[in-house]
Amino acid sequence: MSMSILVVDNHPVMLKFMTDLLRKEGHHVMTARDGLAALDILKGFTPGVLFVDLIMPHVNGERLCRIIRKNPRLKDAFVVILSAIAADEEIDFLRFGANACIAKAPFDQMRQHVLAVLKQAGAGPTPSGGSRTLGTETMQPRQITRELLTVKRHFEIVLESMKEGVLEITPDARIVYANRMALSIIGRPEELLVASSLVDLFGDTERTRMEKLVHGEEEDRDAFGKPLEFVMDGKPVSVKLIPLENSARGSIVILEDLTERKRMEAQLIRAEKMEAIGTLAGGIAHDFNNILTAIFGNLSLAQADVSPGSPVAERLEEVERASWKAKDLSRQLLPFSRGGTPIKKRVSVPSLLQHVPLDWDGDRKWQTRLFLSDDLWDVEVDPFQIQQAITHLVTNAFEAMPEGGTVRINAANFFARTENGAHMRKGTYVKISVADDGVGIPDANLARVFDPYFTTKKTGKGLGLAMVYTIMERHQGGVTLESRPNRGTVFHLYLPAVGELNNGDGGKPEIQSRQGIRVLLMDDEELIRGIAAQMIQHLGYSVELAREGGEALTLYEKASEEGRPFHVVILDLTVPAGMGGKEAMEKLLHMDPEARVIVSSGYSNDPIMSDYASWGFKGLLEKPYQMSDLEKELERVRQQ
Amino acid sequence: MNREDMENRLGLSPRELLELWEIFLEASHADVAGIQAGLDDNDPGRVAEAAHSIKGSAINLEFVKVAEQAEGIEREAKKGNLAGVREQTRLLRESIKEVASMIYRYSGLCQRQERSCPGEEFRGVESR
Repeated sequence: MSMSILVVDNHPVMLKFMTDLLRKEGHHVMTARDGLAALDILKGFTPGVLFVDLIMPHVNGERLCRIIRKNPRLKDAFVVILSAIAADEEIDFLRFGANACIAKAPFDQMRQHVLAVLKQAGAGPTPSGGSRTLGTETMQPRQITRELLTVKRHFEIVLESMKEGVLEITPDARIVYANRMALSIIGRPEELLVASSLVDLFGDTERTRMEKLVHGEEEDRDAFGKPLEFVMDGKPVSVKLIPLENSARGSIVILEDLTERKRMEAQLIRAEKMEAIGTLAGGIAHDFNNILTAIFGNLSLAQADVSPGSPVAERLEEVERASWKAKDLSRQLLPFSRGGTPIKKRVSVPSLLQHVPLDWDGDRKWQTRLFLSDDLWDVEVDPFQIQQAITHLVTNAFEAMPEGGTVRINAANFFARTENGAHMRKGTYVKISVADDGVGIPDANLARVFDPYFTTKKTGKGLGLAMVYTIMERHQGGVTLESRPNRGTVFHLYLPAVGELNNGDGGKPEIQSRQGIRVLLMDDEELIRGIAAQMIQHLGYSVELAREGGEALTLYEKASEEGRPFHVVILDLTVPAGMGGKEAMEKLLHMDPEARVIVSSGYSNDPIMSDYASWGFKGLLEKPYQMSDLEKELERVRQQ
Repeated sequence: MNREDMENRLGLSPRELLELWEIFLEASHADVAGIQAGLDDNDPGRVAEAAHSIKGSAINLEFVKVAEQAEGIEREAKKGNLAGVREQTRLLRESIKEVASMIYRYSGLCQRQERSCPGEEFRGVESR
């Protein structure tokens, strides 16, 4: 029976012998000098039998065999391995899909085995000739070959274990070898990748660059051996081309997937930008808050002095409204400030969502709808910061729907079973989702929307989503988004949850007679000392003032010794030219462990502000504060 | 070497065996040049690869002396030791010359017998 046969071997003597032998037996014979040439022939030729040399350049026999077996057209072909190392190593040819194996030997011996396997091949569909290599009976194993095979296997293990992708390409850029990582990075199976062109893996623009590189036309003469960045199927990759010593043989290509590295770099750049904004914002907010404290203080006193409803009272109300806006602006900067630690409270989610805008500047074309689960856990958050984040997302959603629409806000309990992102831990959260049906975010921008200064709006500053990200990061929560162009966007905020809400916050402190209640105020700003003293006195307390911690300690000690101790002390945290609140507090507690001390600062970057109790403080006054804030906190601390 | 015995064992005509030998010679000359280039470039890998090629085809065709010499070169080259390989290569070249002389003698004989040789023609391998 005549069969179509392909013989693949890199030695012309072997090809000549096999051709003569097989043709004499009446078969149609094609030959190829290496695996790559064989794959080309197989595109248009379907042999019933293949004789394949095991070790040959440009796709070895084992690899060729595996590729053949994955081709449905060749799955029934009878594949015979020709091996020169059969005496030295047992060839597990069945493992890579061959049907028989013949040891390379003097031709008269090989001839008998070739004719024998042809009989087997003609006997039926894919019969196996057993697992024994034919022709090894008279051979003696060679020690040197065994050692070399061990070295070869070792190198194969090294190559397959590398975290870089390794390709071998011919001088015309055809891929003849790909290690496991290369297959993974490129995302194609071996049978589709081997024999294809490296250049074809790249899109139009990158293709030209790659062609220049592999054909030595790269203008940058240092390009060889240097990692160059390319984009492959939308994925950033590093490509290093190393010509083999004998350049006629081709090159080695080292591939590296840069996706994770790029993500880390973007995160680092984002962090650096945040750091820069934080330094600036923190500094501005600190000074700004000191000024606002003076404005609020004077305002409170002035309001107390004028008749309600008078023209001056109305003017003062306007001033108060403007001052509140200024205070909000200052607080908006605080999440960016270095540390920017949220001042957390336990609150219910409905209370957080109370101030969400229900429409956009009074226009009912844009509306908000809330969908809240009944059994929502409470959350431990800085209410102002979280409201700021949600308000920003809602406003963003309105802007994404220029023709109007409804923003849907969902809140539901969420249990994170695994680590999720850099900041979220396994645990309980309340997930608040803000969804719109707007224009969506293009894929290319998805990774950048949280970057500071990244904006697609004409008048945008690119700080809004960066602020949201920072706020959630500092809450050990998370923010994610889903978006489809022209279908809409959903942002999900994950707020750390706590148990049931304790609704009682003590209510308004009971006002008792303040006659004889003595307050010690330490602040380095003369402006603050002046206005705070006036407010404290206005509230009925008596007050003494100190410019820094040392002075405050002296006054406190002296007052105690004289039997007229201070009932409450207010310490400014940051005093550049003297002892600050932290050090003063340590010494004060040493002097009087029962001291009732309130910490005050306009600079919420200090961890003391978010966890004042663990530093021994009994209360907190964030600058700027109004007289009502001051009264409430003084009373609360005094009555503890 | 008993030519007729080999023709019978391999099932080849005199002309086919001659062609096989000529291909061996051609490939071996190229491989010896490869060994020499490897020695000049101090590239043991290239030396070993070329010697391996000669060894394989010499075993196939039972040129035992050539096969042993080529194997010796391959072994040293794979150890990275090229010190004695120039001399081994010289000896290998001599052995291949001897084979060539034998083949040319046989070739001449075949040419004289051309008219009585079967009219089989090797059309060349259909390789790419």
